[in-house]
Amino acid sequence: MTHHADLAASELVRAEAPLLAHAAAQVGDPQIRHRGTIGGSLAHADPAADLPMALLALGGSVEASGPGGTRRIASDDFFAGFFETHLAPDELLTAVRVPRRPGAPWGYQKFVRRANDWAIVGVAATGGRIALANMGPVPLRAGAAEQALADGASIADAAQLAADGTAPGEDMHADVEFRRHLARVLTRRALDQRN
Amino acid sequence: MMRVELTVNGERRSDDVEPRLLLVHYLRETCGLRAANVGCDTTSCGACTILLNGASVKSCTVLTVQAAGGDVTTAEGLTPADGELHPVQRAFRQEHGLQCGFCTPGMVMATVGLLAENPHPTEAQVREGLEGNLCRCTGYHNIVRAVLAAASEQVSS
Ligand SMILES: Cc1cc2nc3c(=O)[nH]c(=O)nc-3n(C[C@H](O)[C@H](O)[C@H](O)COP(=O)(O)OP(=O)(O)OC[C@H]3O[C@@H](n4cnc5c(N)ncnc54)[C@H](O)[C@@H]3O)c2cc1C
Ligand code: FES
Ligand code: FES
Repeated sequence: MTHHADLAASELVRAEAPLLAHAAAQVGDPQIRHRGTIGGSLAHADPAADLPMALLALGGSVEASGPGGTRRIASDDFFAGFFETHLAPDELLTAVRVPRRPGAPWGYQKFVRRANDWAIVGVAATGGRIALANMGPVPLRAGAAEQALADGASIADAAQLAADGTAPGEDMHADVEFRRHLARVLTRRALDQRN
Repeated sequence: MMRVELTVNGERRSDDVEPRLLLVHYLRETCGLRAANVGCDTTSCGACTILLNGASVKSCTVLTVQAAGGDVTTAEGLTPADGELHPVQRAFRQEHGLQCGFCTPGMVMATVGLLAENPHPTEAQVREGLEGNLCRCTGYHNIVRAVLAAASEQVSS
């Protein structure tokens, strides 16, 4: 599968799905981007990772191939739980699809305390979809904020709803309330960043 | 055991290895090349950085069998046995880019990889380009100076 460094540098991806190329460039550090792959990252399903959040924001899908043939799984239906996907034990992830959106506005926010780290909270927004990293056991959509935007709410008002329906955990980096605060602030920044 | 064939510092090798053998242990124990250090074993510190087919990677996160058919360069491979130091190594010496030296082979290899991709980085690009390499001693300022000196070829021999 494609290494993060190749995805980040690809002229085609940068032109047609710039959010995906940007997300790949945020992973870890150069050495990690030379080894890690988009397929490995999606199959690994770390809720704090960059590419699962990016795929969800883009409304992309994956292809799973096994002895029974190949099927397509939408990003909304792919992540099953903490580090778990709906791939069957005998299936491999063999392709990743994202819609072509050249020129479409997007925003990407990743809050970290240390270089080369996973997101304490992350937000990716494009085309009316808002995806959150590390706000629950799987990458999540900020559904209430998306709905408010669609109904004409201001960015500031919609972002206030970003943590609704999420279930973030607590660790040495952040407690639950701080994560909910980050989700609201980063969602506002990601939405502002789009234009 | 599995047979792997690969090139290490320009030398073709063929060795029988356990499938689980990490590349860094292969380099240190089978090849006797001790420049790549094991600092963390979790892909965090960068002390084990080498070039695999020209790209910087952390050799504690590559299985030897994954490098089969590949071309590996360690810090030893930058310098011919009796030759002078590589410009990046000279820059680290000139700018005092090291103290204990534990992180240095990894820093040097990450720098060689960075300058191959971006020969004239800004200071910010140097700091981001080395974000996968930790140094407990120097505070990084002299390391960044060394990389910028190597990039501008302002290194005396
Ligand atoms: C220090 C460090 C920092 C990192 N920082 C970040 C970060 O900031 N953001 C981020 O998003 N990620 C980060 N990562 C994770 C990194 O991005 C890797 O991409 C991720 O771990 C997957 O690695 P891989 O592609 O080598 O897959 P592997 O490690 O090889 O595989 C991961 C899992 O997926 C399975 N798998 C792999 N490929 C497939 C496939 N095609 N089909 C089915 N199953 C498959 C494997 O069996 C395994 O269970 C970091 C990793 C490290 C070590
Ligand atoms: S030993 Fe490989 S990164 Fe630390
Ligand atoms: S010089 Fe001692 S760790 Fe960098």
